[in-house]
Amino acid sequence: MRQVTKSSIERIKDLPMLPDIAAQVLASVSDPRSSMAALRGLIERDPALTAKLLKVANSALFGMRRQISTIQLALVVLGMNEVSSIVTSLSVFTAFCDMPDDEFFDRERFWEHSAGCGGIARILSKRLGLKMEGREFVAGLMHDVGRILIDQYFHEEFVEIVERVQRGTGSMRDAEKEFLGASHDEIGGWLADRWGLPDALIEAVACHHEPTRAETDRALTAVVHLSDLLCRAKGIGFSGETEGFSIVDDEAWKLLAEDHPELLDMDIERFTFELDAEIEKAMEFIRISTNQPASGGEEMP
Amino acid sequence: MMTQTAQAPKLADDKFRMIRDLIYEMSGMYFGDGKKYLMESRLARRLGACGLKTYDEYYYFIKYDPGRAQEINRLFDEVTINETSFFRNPPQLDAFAKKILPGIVAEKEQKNTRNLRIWSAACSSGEEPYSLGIYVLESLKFSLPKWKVEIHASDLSEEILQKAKTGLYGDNSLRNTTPTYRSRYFVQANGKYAIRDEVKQLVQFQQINLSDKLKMRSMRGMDVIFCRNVLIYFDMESKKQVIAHLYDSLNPGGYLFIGHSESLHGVSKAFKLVHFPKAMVYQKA
Ligand SMILES: C[S@@+](CC[C@H](N)C(=O)[O-])C[C@H]1O[C@@H](n2cnc3c(N)ncnc32)[C@H](O)[C@@H]1O
Repeated sequence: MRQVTKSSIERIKDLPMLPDIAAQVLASVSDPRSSMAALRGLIERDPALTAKLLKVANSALFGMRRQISTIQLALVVLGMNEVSSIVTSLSVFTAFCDMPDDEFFDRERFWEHSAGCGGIARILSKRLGLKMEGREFVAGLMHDVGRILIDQYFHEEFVEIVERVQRGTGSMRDAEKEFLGASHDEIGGWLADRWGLPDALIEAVACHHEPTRAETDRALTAVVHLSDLLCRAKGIGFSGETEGFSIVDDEAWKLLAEDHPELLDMDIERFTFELDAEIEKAMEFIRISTNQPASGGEEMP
Repeated sequence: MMTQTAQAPKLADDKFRMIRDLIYEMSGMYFGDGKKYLMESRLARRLGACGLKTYDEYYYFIKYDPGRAQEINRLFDEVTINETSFFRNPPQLDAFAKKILPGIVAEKEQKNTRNLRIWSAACSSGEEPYSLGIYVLESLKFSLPKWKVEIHASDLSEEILQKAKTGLYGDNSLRNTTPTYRSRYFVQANGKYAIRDEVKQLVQFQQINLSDKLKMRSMRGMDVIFCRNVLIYFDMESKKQVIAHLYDSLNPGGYLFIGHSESLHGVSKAFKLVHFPKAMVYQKA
């Protein structure tokens, strides 16, 4: 059995990397001396990114009343951090888009689950009045990328893990730990670290199955954990693995409820029904990132 | 259909949400944004029937008019699917057959108490309880003789119960039924499908009005109750009462299914909400 460690992941030669432009945007945003003008210049140098970013900013995900026609306007209306989050989200797709499907891993479904999770994280954080500036969407989108790395670079083990789970003897994470010595959440966290993403994001990816381990931004990790659950509850994901769960008994829910007592009265049924619309918005994000034509949706005559 | 949609006055997004929210408040039934066009054509028919011109007028009518009760029922009939069928709403039945039933069976095997009590509490023409019976057969298989299985099925209408007892169905009732199940659990004759005796004998029918306190109290020890697509006919007070009765009828840890777009929020806090893929189920604590 191979033992996967942080350094063995980092030594992989063709490890998917964050595009330079995204790394520069992240650096610029975290640098207190940098300006909005500098950030704008950086993004506008990449016309393809600029076009996609504007499409996302004008999509239902943001529900803007007025047209956001320039990067300048996007920065003013959405803020530097939110724009940087959009760039990172788009880059996740760029980084992984070349990785082909295989019979053990339906990538389309994978990204639906990931983006769906991002969309749910977005509406959940909004509902709680948490100002997460798009980090919740990035984290939702990336929470399971460790699975792709396992499939791509440790394929034999991946197949054994999948078969083990299909036989119904134990969880995916337990199987991953047994065959690789590390689980997809840890591995995804190492990639987020290698990419130089902010600590809160690394943590949200690495701890999304054990939200009480988070220290930097417990709310972010809790939101991602719950969104993962709710996305499965909407039937988007690896449903064979999904057991029934009670959201109010979940440790992440309890953790959030400490600071947001309004959760105790929340109409969870209605919130769950409403997620369909949020997931649809997130699917629009996938279509924009991967240059697919927009769906007719509700706008058709 | 096409012409009807074309004639319907356009339902603006904010009006749709207003009416959707009102329906949810009144009935616990939720219509997602994706249902807007369906609602538009259905509401347009009600507008026409009431002689009203705008959705706004209709909203105020069903919200405030002293004679609104009757119209509300017509509206609900218009926007819901009254027609039942075998395996209606597959995600709910998946949760029942793949997650809940195996759990109950395993637990009872362990405790050596091999009895199952399931209740379809608004069973209509019988598709729902027979579907549950099929899943019980699939789940217990050869150990069936060791089990005492009771599937209770009840409805308000004597007439529909007669149909249920006959167990004869047309194609439409079986639209969600796989070829395997068709041949395994039905006998086909003269273009009709007759449910096989092995399923039939699991199910016992009786007339129960969900508001009948006495009869409701006679139903005890249930592992799972299905009470789908009927609660909309009750006002809040009677609904609370019905749900309290169903709660009392369940064993501790037992499960209650209501319609897939219905909610018990604001009706009862006694249950624990459990999420399964595409299905929310209530569990007695
Ligand atoms: C739409 S059907 C639902 C059938 C089935 N449960 C399903 O979901 O497909 C509604 C049924 O509820 C029954 N019903 C209406 N009011 C009732 C009451 N007060 N007590 C019992 N049954 C009632 C009707 O006779 C009808 O058969």
